[in-house]
Amino acid sequence: MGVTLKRILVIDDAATVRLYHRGILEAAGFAVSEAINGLEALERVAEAPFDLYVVDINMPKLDGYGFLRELRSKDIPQAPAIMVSTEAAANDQKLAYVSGANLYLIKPVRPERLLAHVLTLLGLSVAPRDPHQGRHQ
Amino acid sequence: MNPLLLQFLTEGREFLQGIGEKLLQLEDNPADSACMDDLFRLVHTLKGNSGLFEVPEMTRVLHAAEDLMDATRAGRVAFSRALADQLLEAMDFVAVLLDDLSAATGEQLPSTSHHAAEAVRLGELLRGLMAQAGEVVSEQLPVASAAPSAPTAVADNVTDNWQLTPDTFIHVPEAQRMDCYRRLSAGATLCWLVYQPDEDCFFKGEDPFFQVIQLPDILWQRVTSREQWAALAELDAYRCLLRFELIVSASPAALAEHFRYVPDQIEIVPLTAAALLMPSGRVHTEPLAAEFTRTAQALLAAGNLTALTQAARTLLELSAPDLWLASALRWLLLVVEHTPQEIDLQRQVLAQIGELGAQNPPKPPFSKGGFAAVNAEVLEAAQTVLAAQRDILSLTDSAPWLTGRLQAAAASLAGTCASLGCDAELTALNHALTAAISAKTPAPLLAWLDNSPLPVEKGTSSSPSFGKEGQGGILSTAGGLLSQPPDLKSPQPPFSKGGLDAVSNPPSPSFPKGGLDAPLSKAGLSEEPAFNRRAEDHQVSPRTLKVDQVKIDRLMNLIGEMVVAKNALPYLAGRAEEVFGVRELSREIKSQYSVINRIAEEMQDAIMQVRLLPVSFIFQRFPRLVRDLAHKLGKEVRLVMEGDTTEADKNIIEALSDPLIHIVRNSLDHGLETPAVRQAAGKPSEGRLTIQARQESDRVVITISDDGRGIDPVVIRHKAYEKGIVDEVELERLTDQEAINLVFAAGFSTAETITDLSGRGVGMDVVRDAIAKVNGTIELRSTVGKGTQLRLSLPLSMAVTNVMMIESAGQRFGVPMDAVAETVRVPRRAVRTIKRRLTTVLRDRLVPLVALNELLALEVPQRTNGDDEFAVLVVRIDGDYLGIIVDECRETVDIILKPLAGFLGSLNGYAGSALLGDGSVLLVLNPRELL
Amino acid sequence: MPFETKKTTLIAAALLTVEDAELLLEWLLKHPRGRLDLAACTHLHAANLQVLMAAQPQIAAWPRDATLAAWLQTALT
Repeated sequence: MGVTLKRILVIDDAATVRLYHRGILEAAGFAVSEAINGLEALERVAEAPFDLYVVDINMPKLDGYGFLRELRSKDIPQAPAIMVSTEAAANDQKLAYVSGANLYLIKPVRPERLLAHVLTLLGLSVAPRDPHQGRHQ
Repeated sequence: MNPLLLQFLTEGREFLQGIGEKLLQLEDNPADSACMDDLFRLVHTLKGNSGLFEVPEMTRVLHAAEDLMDATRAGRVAFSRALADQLLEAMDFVAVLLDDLSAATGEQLPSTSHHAAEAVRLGELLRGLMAQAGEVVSEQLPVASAAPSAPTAVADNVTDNWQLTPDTFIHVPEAQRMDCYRRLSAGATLCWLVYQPDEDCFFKGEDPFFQVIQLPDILWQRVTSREQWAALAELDAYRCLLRFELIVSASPAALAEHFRYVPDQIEIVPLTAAALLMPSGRVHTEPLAAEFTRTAQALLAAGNLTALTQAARTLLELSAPDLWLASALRWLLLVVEHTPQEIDLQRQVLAQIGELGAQNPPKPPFSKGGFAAVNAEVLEAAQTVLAAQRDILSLTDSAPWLTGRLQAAAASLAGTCASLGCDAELTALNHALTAAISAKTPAPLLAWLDNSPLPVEKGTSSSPSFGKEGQGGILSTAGGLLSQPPDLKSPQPPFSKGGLDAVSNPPSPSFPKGGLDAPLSKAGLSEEPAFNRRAEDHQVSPRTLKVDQVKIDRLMNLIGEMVVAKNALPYLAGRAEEVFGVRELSREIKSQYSVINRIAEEMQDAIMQVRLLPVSFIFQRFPRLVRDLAHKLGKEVRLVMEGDTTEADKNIIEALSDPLIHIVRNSLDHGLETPAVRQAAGKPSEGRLTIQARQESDRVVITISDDGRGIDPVVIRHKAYEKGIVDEVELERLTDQEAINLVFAAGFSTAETITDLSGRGVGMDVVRDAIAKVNGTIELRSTVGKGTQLRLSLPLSMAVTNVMMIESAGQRFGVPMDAVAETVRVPRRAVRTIKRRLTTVLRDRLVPLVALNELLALEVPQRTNGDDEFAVLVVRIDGDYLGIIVDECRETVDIILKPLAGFLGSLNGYAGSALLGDGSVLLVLNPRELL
Repeated sequence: MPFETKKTTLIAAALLTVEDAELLLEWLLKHPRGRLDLAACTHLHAANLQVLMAAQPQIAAWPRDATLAAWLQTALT
């Protein structure tokens, strides 16, 4: 059938968080790669761009903002990026958007919630096509 | 234990270690901003990790620590010793919690709620440090930055309006929602409250129902269960599964106060009027609606609300009340009546009505009421994504990476379109993207978004996605994810397009609302495995493998048995030759033996390498220990550690830990003086404690030296005499060094007064014994006024012991070779009795002799050989030589020493037992204990 | 005794404590079609509420206490 798995890069310096995200995404059938900081993430991207990025903010060497700016400056197919943060600061959100994030979620991201957003961004969630369906409840 | 928890515990301990180190570094150099950043990040990351689990106590303390570090990093709070003390205490607390969690068995996390009070206390102390500093520098600070402890309790569980999703209110009847809308428009404060009591709350004496029923001014309420009730016969009445949802007319602060004992079990969201606006009802295409909408929009634009109201009432009278249209009209009237200024809201309702009447094919009206019932997660996600893209496209900066940003936004929009089934919009989206890129402005994309039928919420997107996630949902689901078949059922496997249309999965109408662990959708396909994972997708392969200690031990035991088993081959060779007379076979066995022997030795070596641990494993505790002790004692101490990469067997390292801590304590307590005393003695006020480790051939040597007051042999002599450890005669004879060594004598303690530090009834004799147990030795040197030095020498490994076999009274025994100095033959006539003790002269040295049979209380005289010579094993104990008379000395052999178990364990004089190649058991003597 | 029974009707006392939940559950198990008279009840511990929600028994009389009645009606209907 020639199916290709969607590839997702999880970038976080905390191994626990990487494992958590990987667990959620792999259970849903995605191919997950990991990077422990922005620099390593850029190396991964240089090998082959991904279909989606899940990016932590605070990381050593190159943080999430820096990674996104570099990523968005590249002449490659640009894929959606979800920034995850423990801060609910509006400022951080704006900075994330300016840097090139497409979504800003607050940690910890519930599995269903992460997945719902990932599926939506990748065009994989299924919403009803019949507008009437939803109103009979 | 599930892998995620395991990872969390391992990483958590690493972080705590790192935090401790950074804090100590900062104490030395508070201006080290890189170190400060590292410290902040460690605390921050650890807090983030803890949020994945249900350990509110840990998260609370770490959150406070993070805020404090953030303030410190920004220079709002000065780094001080008090601050470091507080943070260290907080980290100790976190370590305790980690230990508690590591006791977890199965999937259930142990409750840490008994630490709640301590967590609150530590959190307040940490925040107190900020508050104090806040007073000092308050002029420079905005109000929020130095938040004192009180408001944080509120802030923790009050979320802003963002999180309210269309389906939040799906169970609130329209009349009640409208009532709330009216109240809110009139300026009332309403909150949405969700209360999910802990499962074990009944056992803590809580009655959540009482808590809830006590609330005044409830406008709407609902109680549900978090999971399907068990069949009545299996129902556990005392496992609380309740979930309360309420709309209450009260301020968030008042609610937080009401639920102050269970802050982590509630969620409070202040309500806004707009969030409640949600028409609902039976859908029926209404041709009149389109015309009405056109008229109404014109009236709205003209600001003629009276005429708009009139038109709406007319249509409402024509519509059956249970129709969605009727509901929408009622909302329109309500909005116009109570919030005439909210033009946007009015437009929104109108637009929805308009879509209803639109001709064939109707555009999907993404009304709030519509999709919420079907798949709330997807719709919510889509709305979040769309709102975020709107924000992104509204940015006015001109970053160099603008093109990439536009492409990424367009990609996100395209995905959302596909998810919502609006593939028809994609062409227009692509055109808009091209236009945006060439014009270097997001405007075309923004225009596309505004004109698209996608459910973009305006004006609600600027605040971040502030999600205090459902209580308890995270861990249970994450745990399940990693250890069981996944709970998560994606509506469709995320393959690339192509597979998309082949699958049909009707949304389930019985989707349990509000269930925290509710799967994304009940639609099938969950059996689709996550196959096709490619090797190159797992780039971060760990170079270090973390292996359970038990496995290593098992491997070592097996290798040990192998080493012993190979010893049977020489016996076999001997029997082949002597008993069966086949010399050729004997030779072959011997040559095979040498091969197996070599491999066995390499295996031993390899397993030793695996078991090697650097001494830093123990050393790392010392900076903190020395710091805390020095503070307590009012001393200034500089700790110097060298060679902490020196390695030794894990058992040795572990055996070293307690003695070393004791020695360090002793040194700080008794050795190093207070600054005043030191200055008076002409020494620098800061004392120096050096701990060095190095390898010397097959031993690891650790020296601990200080430049303190040293040990005075005169004082020791006096004390030893006082305590009856030595008599007058011995007192005279003792050299200074011998006198100093008396501190190792049982019952000797140099402490003048028993302090809470080292004077806990543990003397240096215990240290010496502990070291001796792993075949180590300890030497003490000291110079009065200059300092003291302790030198520990230990074997690198203790797994395989080389013993000499001896015979006595017809039995075989082993003696560890590292105790054996030499074996000699002593003619009976060369044995003298001096002061009732047997002695002999060996190389001009007087060596005392003891008969092994006598030591073992065997009433048999030692045998001599044909020349009437005794076999004597000369052992060295603490630098003294002693001859043990045995019947015969035999070959040496490698054995795996096992401690004596059972009733034998209490026998003194034995180091343990070992299995020999012929299957017999060898008792191994411990010469030191024998004497 | 927090309960009184009349044939297949359980008459609850003013207060049902946490311990009573067990008794309530037992009674409901023994009387699958039993009815509950909660008229005198002014409060019941959350554990009882759970039992009622799980069992969904027939209610012969709702509590006279309006607040409690409102809560139980949302939970049991």
